[in-house]
Amino acid sequence: MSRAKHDGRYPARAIRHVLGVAGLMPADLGRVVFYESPWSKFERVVRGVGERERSATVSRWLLQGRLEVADRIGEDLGIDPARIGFCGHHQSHAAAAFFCSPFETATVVVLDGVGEKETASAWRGSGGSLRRIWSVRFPHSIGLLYSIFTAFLGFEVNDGEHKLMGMAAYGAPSRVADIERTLARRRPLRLSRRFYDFTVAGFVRPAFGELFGAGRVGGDDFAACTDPSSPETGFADVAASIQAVTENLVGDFVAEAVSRTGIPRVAMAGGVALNGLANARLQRDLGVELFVQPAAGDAGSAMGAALWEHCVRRRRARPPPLETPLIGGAYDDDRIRRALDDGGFACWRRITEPEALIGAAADLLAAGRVIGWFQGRSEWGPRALGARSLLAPPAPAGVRDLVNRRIKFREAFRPFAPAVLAERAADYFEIAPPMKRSQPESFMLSIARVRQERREELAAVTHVDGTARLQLVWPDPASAFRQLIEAFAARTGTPVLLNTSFNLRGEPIVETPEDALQTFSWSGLETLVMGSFVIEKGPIR
Amino acid sequence: MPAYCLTSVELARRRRSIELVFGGADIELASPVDLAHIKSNVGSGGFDATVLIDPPPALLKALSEAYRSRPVYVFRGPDSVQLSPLEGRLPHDDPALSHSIFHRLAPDRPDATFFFPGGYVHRQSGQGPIDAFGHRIDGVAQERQADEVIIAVFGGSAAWSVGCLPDETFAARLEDKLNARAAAGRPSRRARVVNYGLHGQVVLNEAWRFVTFCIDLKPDIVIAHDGYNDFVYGLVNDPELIGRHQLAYQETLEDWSPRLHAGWDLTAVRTPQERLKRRNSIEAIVRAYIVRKRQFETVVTGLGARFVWGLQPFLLSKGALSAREAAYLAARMADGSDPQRVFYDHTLELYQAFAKRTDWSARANRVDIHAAFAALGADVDHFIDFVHCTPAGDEVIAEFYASHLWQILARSEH
Repeated sequence: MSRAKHDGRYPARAIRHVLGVAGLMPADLGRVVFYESPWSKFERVVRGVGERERSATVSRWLLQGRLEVADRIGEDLGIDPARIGFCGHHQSHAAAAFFCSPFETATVVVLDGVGEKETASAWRGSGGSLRRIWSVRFPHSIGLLYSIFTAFLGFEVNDGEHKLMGMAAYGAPSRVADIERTLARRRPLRLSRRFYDFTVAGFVRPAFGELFGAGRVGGDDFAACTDPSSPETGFADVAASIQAVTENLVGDFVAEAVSRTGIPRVAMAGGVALNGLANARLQRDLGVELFVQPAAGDAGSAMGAALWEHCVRRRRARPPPLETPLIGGAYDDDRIRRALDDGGFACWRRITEPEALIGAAADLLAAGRVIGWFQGRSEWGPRALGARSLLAPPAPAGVRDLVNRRIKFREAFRPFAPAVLAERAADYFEIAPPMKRSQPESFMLSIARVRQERREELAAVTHVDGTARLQLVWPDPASAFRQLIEAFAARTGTPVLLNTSFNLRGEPIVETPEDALQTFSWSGLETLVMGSFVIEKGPIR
Repeated sequence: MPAYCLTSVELARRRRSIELVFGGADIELASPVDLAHIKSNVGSGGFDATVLIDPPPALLKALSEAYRSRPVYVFRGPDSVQLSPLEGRLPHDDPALSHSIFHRLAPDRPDATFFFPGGYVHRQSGQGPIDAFGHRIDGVAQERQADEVIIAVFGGSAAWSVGCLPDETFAARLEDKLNARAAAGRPSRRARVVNYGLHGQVVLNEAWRFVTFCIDLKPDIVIAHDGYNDFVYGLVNDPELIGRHQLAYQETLEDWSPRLHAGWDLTAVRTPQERLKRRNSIEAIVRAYIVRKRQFETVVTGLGARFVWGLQPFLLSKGALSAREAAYLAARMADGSDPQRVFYDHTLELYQAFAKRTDWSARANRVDIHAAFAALGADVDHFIDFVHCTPAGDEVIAEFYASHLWQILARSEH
């Protein structure tokens, strides 16, 4: 909405947008629930900072009005602050995970950096109830551990974690033992105070530097290479190692949670649940049935807070499971036409027959072109799942460089995801049947190995380690994306498309037609298919 | 200590700048190195004023105290030929206007700016004469004579030529070149070039300025030497104004735009340190420029004048940068906190789109100086920064306009 990635400001536009989609006025709301307790978080933050920063931290919180959440929301919406309630941070996550899942009973796991005080929590979900079984408290956090290494490897914390995951494939987990030395205990997790101190900048003590050396300063452009003497290779080994340790810690926690509940169905949320490699390990090693709600990070917590209020506090019936992440904004052809006129785009044609439109897009992809794709309601969560996507054929390998360098202007080492017709997925990926619509692969939240014999056919979407973060695309007569993959398969024999988010480096995914046109304009794309419009970069008049 | 040495030419240019401001007064010219140097070497003689060359910022306070009893002026930066006072600002050409509300609204701005109907006005004194509204015109532009050709130049600070002394500007050089030809016989009429260029102007400002100040002069030829400001401001201007209404404005210079972009909350103002964001598509920005420029052309030609559609160069127009230009660019690109970074990142793409995707390249009245600069090499400094030319750069610009205008003038005399 604001075109600022991870925008932490008060989400006034988002609130108006969702009210508009629902056709509601603020006065229609029975209750507004905030996704965490500001006072409890404030207490943790103030206790957690060093003596020198304490008064500045208190002043900042007070001056920014971060403790006056109810007043701020009440003032903005014009409603009585008494109608505004609060929900614990992990309660919000747990509710979003469980009540969006298809499970009647489930082990619910929340893993993130830190909420108010909790960093990991396990719950038993049953019908309309959620009961916390146990939790781990700050500073002992899988998410923060991963973030510390994200910063150490030169990426931006709370943004570059997925880059670390991509980098890990270039290294060997040769530093696992070193990282485990920094843990006072693995089950349950305890970070060693010899190595970590959350009251200092960077959160690490000198012993950490003595063990791992100086952090990487190369920025986001990791130079993928296989030269063992290159410092970049050493950093890739650290990335592979923290990834392996994280997978082990997540596995430990989930295994313990499942053993305590006795329920082998797991619903997960929290930022760590976006780690597709860890999710794949859970599925493979524990054999659990896994649901990860698509907006597993804090962006999905608002829905969780509302579900907590609805299901747990008010004991109302659970809503149906979330089967599609496409619950964002939709924009009709009139709006798109206005955006084209206002944006100065004169070179477009309109194809109102859906089949012909799909055919035209499939022809472009079959000819090796990369297209922008903007159809229907936008995705909820960080992954582009076929509503706001850049699409390309899945081979040859050069397509990856083309999209990374000349279309999105992003780092060359980063992999792309394949979107595959669900019923054909097992032909291309090592994925165990039976498959369900609720599994993480439907939301691009797990990893599978690409079958050896298909790697050339999927060369642009196969990562250096032979894996891919696939998206299962299920039959749906209303899905233009599904029909496009079918049409591409009819032309090429391959039921797979390269699917990456419709944005440029450092920018959020587009939401509106205006966003899409601006991104299209500055990208290396030549064609954008938006609504029934096929837009090209032609003369400017 | 400044990390450069002045050549004799550079020193002479500064002396000429001093003469333009102070005439025959006895002026001390010094380049302070450190505090001890200041105390022992400068300020002791009986001069009327002291001029310092690029004093280190860390010494400014000490300098101010050391020279408390005497007027002190400085050349800020290695390429500057603009004299500015160490504190406060130079008196302006027009005492009445200097005391106007527009001037008083910005009393502490060292660059002597004020806010005015029709767009931001910058009166850059200390670099030769200007008129009441900041144009590089000595007094008031005189009425046209029967036997002269009047050429009016419009544009932003690059047309004003901030890197040049008055006789070094491309407008002045163009006049010299045309008149050298006139003296030789063809074209026969003498030319007078009047410079209406002013800092930060976009095409809409130029058109307003043409109607407000120039129209009665009945120019024969109007040169619109622009592009850069419309492109860079178009990047960050309000999307609805650029996209739907083709309204570009001086984003970083106007007082109201930081409030506009902060939304309805007028107490929330974008600070100068806040990084500007790209807000518009290439298509919207280029269309806004070309639409407004066509309108300016229509106004000019409707009044019987010829319109010359210039496309100004900027640093990346050059085929190869000189060492000094490359160092400047590297420093700007390395500065992650530069709020105007978006300009450096995207301007070239806008120029390229304008050249390739509009009908401009088919126009007979175009003078593509941006393209012409591609032939320039690393042996000469043509720019003092990202967009403003050195005297050598303005000489190249003058030559290109002169070539075009000779043809126009020769045809008109047939």
